Amino acid sequence: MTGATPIAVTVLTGYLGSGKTTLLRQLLEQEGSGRIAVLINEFGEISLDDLMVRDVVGSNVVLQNGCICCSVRSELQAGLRDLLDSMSRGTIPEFDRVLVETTGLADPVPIVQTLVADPMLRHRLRLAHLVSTVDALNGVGQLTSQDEALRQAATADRLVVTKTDLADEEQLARLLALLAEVNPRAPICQVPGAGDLCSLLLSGDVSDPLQSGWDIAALDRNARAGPRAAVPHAHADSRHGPSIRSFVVRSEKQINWTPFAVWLSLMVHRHGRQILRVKGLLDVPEANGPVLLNAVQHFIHPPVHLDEWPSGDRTSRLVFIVQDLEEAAIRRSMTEFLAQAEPLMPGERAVP
Amino acid sequence: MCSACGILQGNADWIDGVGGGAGEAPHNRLAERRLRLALVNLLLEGSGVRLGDHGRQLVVRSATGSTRLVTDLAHVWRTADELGRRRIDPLHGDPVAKLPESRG
Repeated sequence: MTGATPIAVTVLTGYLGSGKTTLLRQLLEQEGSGRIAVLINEFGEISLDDLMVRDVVGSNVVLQNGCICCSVRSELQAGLRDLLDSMSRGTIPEFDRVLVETTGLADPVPIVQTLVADPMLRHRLRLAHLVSTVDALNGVGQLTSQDEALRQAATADRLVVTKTDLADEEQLARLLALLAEVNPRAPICQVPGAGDLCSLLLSGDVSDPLQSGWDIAALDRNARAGPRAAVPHAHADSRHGPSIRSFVVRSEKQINWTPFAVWLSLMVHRHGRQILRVKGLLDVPEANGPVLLNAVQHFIHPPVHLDEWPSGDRTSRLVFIVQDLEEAAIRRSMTEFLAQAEPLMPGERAVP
Repeated sequence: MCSACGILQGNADWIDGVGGGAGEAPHNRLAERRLRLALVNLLLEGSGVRLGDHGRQLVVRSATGSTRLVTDLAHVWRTADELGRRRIDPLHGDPVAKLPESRG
């Protein structure tokens, strides 16, 4: 046990062959990567990925039974518990970060839910980032044809474009433009050539207000850019309709926190699988500074209080990244509910 | 924090991260609890169920008399799905069209 501070968990996703394991090795070999325990979810009897990283770290637990998004959540739970127990017993070295590498077909959100569903894990671990790799050569094709690849990129906190040395300028430019549509708020780094991977991918924390400036800057850029068109998707006509789009909801008025939170809880209950991300700054009467909200599908991070607004713009702005949901319906629902809740609000409450 | 932990009863939770949390004065906590009840029932309009207070417990009641104890917001929505006449959807129908007659 390393004390009361929960251990950071970074979840590494990315479509099949997009370079997750290579990136993982680079991270682990890099000086300053810290003490990282790695959990790997791999299909098949023989875990090649495990063999590749076993000599790098000694505390791997391989999840053997296929896709992490359905059948092996309990195994992930057991794997994480085993890691923590082993560290407590001293049978493995102490670590201060867990890195979970998912299968190429995994939806990362159930992994996040596994962290919070288990009371023991919830108190000893905290989600730091979702990192997703995208192959510069095949990324455009995968994002436009494979739902899993699209969802992985759309839910990420950090995007890593891999194999940039193998792609030509046009391929890379098309991919970067597509990623800006899919997930406009996530910083993107390119490998090889990204430099200090640890500081790019492992520094900061989605719940740490001191480290959130990067994300807020990306958020603000996106908020100024206005709505984004839906990303074309090969399955769009037959399966999903309009597929993934992002947009910003702005409000000049202060937003009452409790009505907003109750509305959001129902939204993610009913449509959580299609609400890939919600992130933004809220001006709420209950707090002096802005409140940073960050949600991934059904998972809503504890809101973070910031001391001051990152710029002169003090309007509330929320970036939604959604799949197969109508932007206008979300705007209308939120606006109408907040308006109808106003008469229920008690008199002004003193800010603590 | 998962939406499944949208606690109505005062446990640490994402919704308590801004005002209304355990650090609030008791009268504010009570007011916050009443507000959340009223807001939930506003969203439950037309579903055939309501959320009520039963002592320190929270109860979802259906029009046919079925009752279930619930512990958090997501539990409320799940129970409403099970007991209600229809599933409420904030994006479809008109679940937030009318103010409730009672405010909590």
